[in-house]
Amino acid sequence: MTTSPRERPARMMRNGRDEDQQFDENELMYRRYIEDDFDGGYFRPVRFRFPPSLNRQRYSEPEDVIFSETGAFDEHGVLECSVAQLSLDLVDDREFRYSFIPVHRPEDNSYSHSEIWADCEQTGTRDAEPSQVAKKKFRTKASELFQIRIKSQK
Amino acid sequence: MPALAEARQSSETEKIAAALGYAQYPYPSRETIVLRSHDAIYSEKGLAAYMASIGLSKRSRDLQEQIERMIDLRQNWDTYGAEPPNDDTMSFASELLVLLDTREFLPSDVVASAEGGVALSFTAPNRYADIEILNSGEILAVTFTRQREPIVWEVRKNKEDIIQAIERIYDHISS
Repeated sequence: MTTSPRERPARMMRNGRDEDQQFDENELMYRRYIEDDFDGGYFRPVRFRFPPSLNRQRYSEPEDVIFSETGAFDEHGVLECSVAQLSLDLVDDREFRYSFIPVHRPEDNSYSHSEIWADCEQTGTRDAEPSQVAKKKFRTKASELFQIRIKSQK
Repeated sequence: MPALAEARQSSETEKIAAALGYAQYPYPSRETIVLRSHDAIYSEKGLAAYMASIGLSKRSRDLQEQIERMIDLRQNWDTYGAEPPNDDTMSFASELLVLLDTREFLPSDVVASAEGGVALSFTAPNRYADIEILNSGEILAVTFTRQREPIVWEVRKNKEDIIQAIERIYDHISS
């Protein structure tokens, strides 16, 4: 059976809008998931890639992360987590201190698209590639913070 | 030289020969001539895999099959751009599983990692641990008690480091 492509909601389109790096600590961040991403009651840390790709609440609805013109994500669910929860401070095995922060990374067809990057106190850098140990620490800790917003059917 | 089909072998010796990369042929003096048909490295790995498969528990075999099925994963399998595990990563994960079976400490699950690789995970109430083998060749391990900060370390690809990581995880999960 074939179905007609769906129309992407206008709110998802960038349409020349600038980045907005102001995040409220109560703002929610969304990502999609399937049942196999969970083990028991927790999201599997190893199913979390760094930097995580997320949609921010200010410019999207939760279901936008499962929107596809072809319906490819129709059976996926949606997870949510607040900016405050994801703004973790972690230390790696070299005693480098990282502060994880949301960064708005708009895309043409997903204006709300954001990632989590890391500020390193020792190097003074902000980027999406902290040390492997820091990344894994973040992925592990953040995985327990996400809650189900829309349940997966897959 | 007789054709391979004429070789007199039992099914078990055939499997061992195949794993080793050897073929046996009858010889006029009733002895056998043994020819090695593959390179030595492949043969030794084949034998190890075969010998391991004989002694593995059903649970271990199920986990081994989960690793084997990862060969079907394609680029972007998680819809967030993840790479599938490569052959070396899957092979190492399989060997690690054999080691864990010997230790009688099998992981709760074996899954593909969104970072590109294979992860062996261990769970207990409020506790989690994994060993993540990345396509880059790096190995990372974590022990985690819910609501606390995870403990993460890099594991070098040598027996001593790997055994040490297994013991740390065993202590964490069983404490």
